[in-house]
Amino acid sequence: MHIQVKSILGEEKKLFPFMADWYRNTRMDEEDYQELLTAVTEACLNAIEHGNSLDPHLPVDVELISDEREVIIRVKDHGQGITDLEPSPFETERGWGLKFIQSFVDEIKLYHEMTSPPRFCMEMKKKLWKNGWRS
Amino acid sequence: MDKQELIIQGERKKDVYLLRLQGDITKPSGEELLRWVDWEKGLPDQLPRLVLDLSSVPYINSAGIAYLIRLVRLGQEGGFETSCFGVSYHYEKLFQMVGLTRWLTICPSEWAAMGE
Repeated sequence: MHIQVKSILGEEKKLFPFMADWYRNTRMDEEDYQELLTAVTEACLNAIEHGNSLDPHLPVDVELISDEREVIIRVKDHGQGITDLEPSPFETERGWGLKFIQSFVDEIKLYHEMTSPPRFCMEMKKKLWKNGWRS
Repeated sequence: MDKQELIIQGERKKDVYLLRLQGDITKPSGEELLRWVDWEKGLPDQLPRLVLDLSSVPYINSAGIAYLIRLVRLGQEGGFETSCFGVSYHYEKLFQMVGLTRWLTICPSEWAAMGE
């Protein structure tokens, strides 16, 4: 699944129907899904606001790959990116966004893709069965 | 911003100022919420309690949570307490994680929040 959104506040909500369609075809527990959704929208919000500096001409790309065990989501922007999530300034709204991301996924990778122009990527991995399966 | 992102309706009910919110709480709508009343000067008629109805708020992002924190802290300066109802399990968890529940009481129902 690949979704592209503009760097405008609120565009991150365009992910909701795509994520919901994906979720319906999994057996992921509902709270695990809500956590994933928060992590993805916060990563997208970071990309829109800080990565692409709210430039509406710069897109944010979101890719989702999953199998029966885990889901990998990559959020890509055109900014400088960050090298580390620790220590995060948690007492700010951006810090809280990063705290949610860190708390709600199992693994995070930060890297630059050597495309032209290069893009910053936040890759998040989450196990689908953390709290058991949805019946 | 979509002008309908957050609809705010305030009403007095006994000693409570009830704020019914309908829509998303994000950066633009959070700013609107902070402008709704001069919170640090207190509630209309100097009421002692503010209750937020969040039952029709499907999406609150980190920026929106930051505005809720500002609102309840302004409430402390304005001399009123803030509580809310209609919060999902997930958002209750987020509120707890950022420490919002230090200042904001989460009630299980409108009846409980209104103290009826």
